[in-house]
Amino acid sequence: MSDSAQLKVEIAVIGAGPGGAVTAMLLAEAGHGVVLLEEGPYLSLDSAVHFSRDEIEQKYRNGGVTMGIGSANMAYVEGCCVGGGSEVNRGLYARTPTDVLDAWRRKFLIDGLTDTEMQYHHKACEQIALVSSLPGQAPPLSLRLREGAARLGWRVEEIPRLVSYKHDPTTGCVVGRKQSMTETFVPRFIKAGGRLLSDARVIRLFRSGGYWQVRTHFRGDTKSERVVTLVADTVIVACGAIQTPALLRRSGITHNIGNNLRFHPMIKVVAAFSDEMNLPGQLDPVHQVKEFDPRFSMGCSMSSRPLLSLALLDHPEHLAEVDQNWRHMGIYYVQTTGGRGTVRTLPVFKDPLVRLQYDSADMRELGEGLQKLGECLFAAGAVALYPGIVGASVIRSLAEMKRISVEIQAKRANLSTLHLFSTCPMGEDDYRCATDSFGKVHGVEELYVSDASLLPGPTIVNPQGTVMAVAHRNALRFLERRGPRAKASSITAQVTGGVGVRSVQ
Amino acid sequence: MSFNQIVTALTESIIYDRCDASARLSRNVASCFVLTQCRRMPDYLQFPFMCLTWGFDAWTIVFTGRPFHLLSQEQRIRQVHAWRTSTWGFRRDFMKFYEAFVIFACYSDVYPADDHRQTSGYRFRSSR
Repeated sequence: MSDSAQLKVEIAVIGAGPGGAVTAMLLAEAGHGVVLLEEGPYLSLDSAVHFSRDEIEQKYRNGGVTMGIGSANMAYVEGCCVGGGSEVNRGLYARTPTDVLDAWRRKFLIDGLTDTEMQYHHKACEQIALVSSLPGQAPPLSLRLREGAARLGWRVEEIPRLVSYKHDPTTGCVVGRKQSMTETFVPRFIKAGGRLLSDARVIRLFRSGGYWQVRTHFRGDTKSERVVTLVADTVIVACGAIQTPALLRRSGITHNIGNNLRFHPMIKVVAAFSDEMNLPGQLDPVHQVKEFDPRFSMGCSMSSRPLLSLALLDHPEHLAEVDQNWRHMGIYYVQTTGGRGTVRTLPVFKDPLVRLQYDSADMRELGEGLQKLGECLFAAGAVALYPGIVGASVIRSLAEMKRISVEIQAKRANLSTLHLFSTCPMGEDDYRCATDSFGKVHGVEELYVSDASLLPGPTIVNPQGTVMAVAHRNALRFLERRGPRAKASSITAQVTGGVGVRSVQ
Repeated sequence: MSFNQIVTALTESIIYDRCDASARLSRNVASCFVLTQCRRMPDYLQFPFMCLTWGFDAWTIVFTGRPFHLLSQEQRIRQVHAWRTSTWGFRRDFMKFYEAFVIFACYSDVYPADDHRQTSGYRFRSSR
């Protein structure tokens, strides 16, 4: 660690995921001087193939080795690159359900956040990050889920994605491109004059002399880290549901921070069919069974051979089937809203500790979801199911499925999640909430939160749309309070240690 | 003994035990990947995990007089099985961690084209 430098900015947005990128773009376009700091690198969408080993190495926090510890351990994934989670997820998109908004408003005393208000913000985001349905037929693995649900009379939906499809006249094919943050909001932020500092890890925030001091370890073009302190009028923290509470707690801000982690725990099942389902060149699966929302929903995952091999980890004797029968196999999941957790920092250590708790009702709900998923897959023609439960046997019929215990033993469940929320819930209920209804941290001047940690509970649906819409809403409220500003004098570099702060203009 | 030696030996044993013969060529790739993942895991887990790995290596000294990484492949696989099916949860979790990364790395290496088949987030083509 060497040299220290200072950079004076008007607004520092920390974290370039969906919440941070939307916020930073709106503020920059309104003329404010905004610096967007991101711990990870700035990589294009094409730097690694999606869901590949390269992508895990390049874009996942801790190389994907992130885990919540508790009565049942749960692996979770966080993007650690410009664009955050939007770069590594599948881009499945949904607007926030009305009943979810109603419940949040009522329980957490949130001003506004009505369905009508949120529709406006969803639409505004969808004009920048385009949302589309598949241009052709969904892949067989996805269609099978739909067929199974239809046979049982269950509600099933094709979920649109943040993908822009264009017809390529030279090949006559449709070419799709995911609308991640590096493809949409981040370029617009840069075009509006915002400065993006990637490879910049914020260690701590201090309030001094009416300004925020943002202490940052900056890994520029050289391999060694340098300390850069940003002096900011306003700080907006958007590091995601785990890193935001960790940063705030490290900075001594702890009121209702990191106490209320919620998530969508997911358990996977590999299904084998008698005919070939998993065909080369197919598009992403997009169907989800919504019959049992909000208790649990079901869907289909990417099912490449490397991912199938991982999903069969609890069935070691059947791993060889991936080599032989992979075209007949697909990965499905059920996810619920059960379980709670906390995020805490530990003395000396950089990474936060995530602790989880489930009660028997949570595990029972997962078990019921698993049974329903099995029912749906057998109705769709599955001949064998390999559930992600340690020591579980292969299930070859519905009767066998019904014989397994509905309540899954927590220690045996192979849980994972991509959706984490609620560690800094917003609202006017000071007893439960960390921020006001628009993301301003209670009792702290000029400090805001703008990411999934604001959402007071599980979204039930894929959460990126909600994160973007809430960020859009809160940024517009911020601008209403603050007003537009000429940006000519808003970013002043006062480099005292010769550090070459790399910015992307 | 070095941590790298133990991880390499364990990686090799998992591949011999769990994967197709074609995956044996991927052992170096898998070892590198697993070592990288060990270095990148949350910092508060790194030291306990290294200790557990050394403990795993030393465990066989009691029964065979030699650490795990110096055993024959057959003996090593026996130890891997014992830990995978152990009644002690930490042993099962330890083995699951290594198996997950070794198997994923091997299959990614053996079937690189699979990553391109389903290409969300990447350019892909679909006939109407």
